[in-house]
Amino acid sequence: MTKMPGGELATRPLHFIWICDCSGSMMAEGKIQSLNTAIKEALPAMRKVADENPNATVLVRALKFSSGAQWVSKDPTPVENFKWFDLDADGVTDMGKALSILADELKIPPMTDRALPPVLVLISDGQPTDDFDSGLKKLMDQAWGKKAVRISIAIGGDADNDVLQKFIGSSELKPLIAKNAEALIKQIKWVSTAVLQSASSPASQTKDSQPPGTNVPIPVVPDDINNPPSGAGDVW
Amino acid sequence: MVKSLNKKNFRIVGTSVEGASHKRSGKPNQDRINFFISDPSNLPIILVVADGHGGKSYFRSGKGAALAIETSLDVCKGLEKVPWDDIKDKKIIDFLCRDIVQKWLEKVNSDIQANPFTEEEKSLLKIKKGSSSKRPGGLNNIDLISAYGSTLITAVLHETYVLYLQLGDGDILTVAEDGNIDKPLPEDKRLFGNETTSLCLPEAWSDFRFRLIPIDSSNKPPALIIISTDGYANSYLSEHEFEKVGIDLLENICEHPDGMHAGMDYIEENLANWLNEASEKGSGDDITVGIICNLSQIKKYRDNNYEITIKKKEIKHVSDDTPPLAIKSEEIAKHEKQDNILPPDPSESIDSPTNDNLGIDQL
Repeated sequence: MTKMPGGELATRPLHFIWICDCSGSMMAEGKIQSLNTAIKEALPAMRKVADENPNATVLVRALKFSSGAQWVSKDPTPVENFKWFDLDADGVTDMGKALSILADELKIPPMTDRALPPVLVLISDGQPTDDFDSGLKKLMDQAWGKKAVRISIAIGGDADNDVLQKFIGSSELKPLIAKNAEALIKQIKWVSTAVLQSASSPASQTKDSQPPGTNVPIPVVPDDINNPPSGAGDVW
Repeated sequence: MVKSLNKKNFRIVGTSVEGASHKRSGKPNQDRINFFISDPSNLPIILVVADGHGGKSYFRSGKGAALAIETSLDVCKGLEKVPWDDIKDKKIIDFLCRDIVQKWLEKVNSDIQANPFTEEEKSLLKIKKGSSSKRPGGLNNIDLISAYGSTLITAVLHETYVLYLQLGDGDILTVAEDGNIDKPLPEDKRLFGNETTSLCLPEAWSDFRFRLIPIDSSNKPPALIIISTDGYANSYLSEHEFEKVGIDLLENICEHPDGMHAGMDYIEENLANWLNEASEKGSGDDITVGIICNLSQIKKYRDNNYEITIKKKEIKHVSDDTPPLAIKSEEIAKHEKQDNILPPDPSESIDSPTNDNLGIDQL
């Protein structure tokens, strides 16, 4: 006779997207293997954060770029089912192409306007070999591109920090710099947990209340993650 | 706690629940709701909800939402003596929005004077360099006011018009006597992601959306006016799934075997549970809903759509051309007798404005 009003209830989707540099230079000093290991090791902690925030459905994808760019896993996959497939490295650094492909997937549709701001994590060890600015513009032309939480990780000293900073779009947040595998593991874990946690339940806010480009309050990056001390282990 | 009022022609039901994610994090409910109904004439009815922003720097937003409710009720009570012929002048609405913002700022200012920020609160404020600008009247720095940031949605059901006012996110749904669902206000593209316009922003009065609709022989007041904070719509899979709330509430009222009043009692008894479930399985946010039930219009819907065992399931939108399903039954008379609430439609005794005056039914 009577019933709860309204149609189907649903938690809000939170898209988390790894954007990984798979250019030939990532073969050097075990960088690509370290990236594969770091993301795989971070998955249990990521799932734990998702479990603790049941009103957000965390959907994970990965996009790789080298000579061209392509989705490793195009379909948004619930984090509990997400599996990391090891990436190989070869070719150049078509980062602009990756952002262009990403922009297509952030359109509404296929995205919905009730989603939470997506988290985009760009990881690179080098300089773009294609038109990065055009790719970034295409991404930022999308409403969800602008509203996304954008984080970048520089692997080693040859990464183009200016480009990674442009991707973030905020002077308040700097690229994380990984000089060795241990630092990369910590940084990937921090992004997978602390950043995911903040993005899972963002409070309503007025325009410009956050520094440009951050969109949701990003936790302060701990010193040992943001600027780990240099040491003999710095191989990148 | 459910707020409700039962009058001869109208029933108002509303409640606010703490969001599921707020319960987990220990954050208080920052939504507020209240209403006013004129006595003894019943009209105008004013229903207001407000949603205090949840970010850390909006640490007094629950108070800000309460002050927003208080202010909007006070200001809109002044519309009781303002008929359609006067309010159709857009300047009145502009004045109304400015007045709400100005009086809210004054209340916020008084509250800051009475309860100065603690050192801990000051550390949470986001003071921007060079932002020493003052509001008109020498009020506080806008960075201080932002601690009270809140949205505001107001519905005014007057004898001769319905006025909807909205600043920030949230939703207004109406259900007409023929079952048509409408969202009377246009989309505001600035309300995207977790961003909203707010009473605490400079020039907030200019960010209000409004719609003014006359009540006359061709424009009947809605059977239901439902206003809600954004946590409610965000708990549904899509806009379409959310809009079903309107017709389902109407059907809950009309299908109750003990009559329409019993149907509304049922809604009142269950509303908080429904909103808690929506927050748990949906957005996790605080949810606040207020409903104005117009009994004579609800009865028209029931008369046109129900035989005791037959009901209309189709969700209709304003854009649909499908004529309302008309089913009459001798059984309807039994319902009328049970409900005993059938005064003449108040809108039928209202002088109709000329067609020239209908242009205000727009932004």
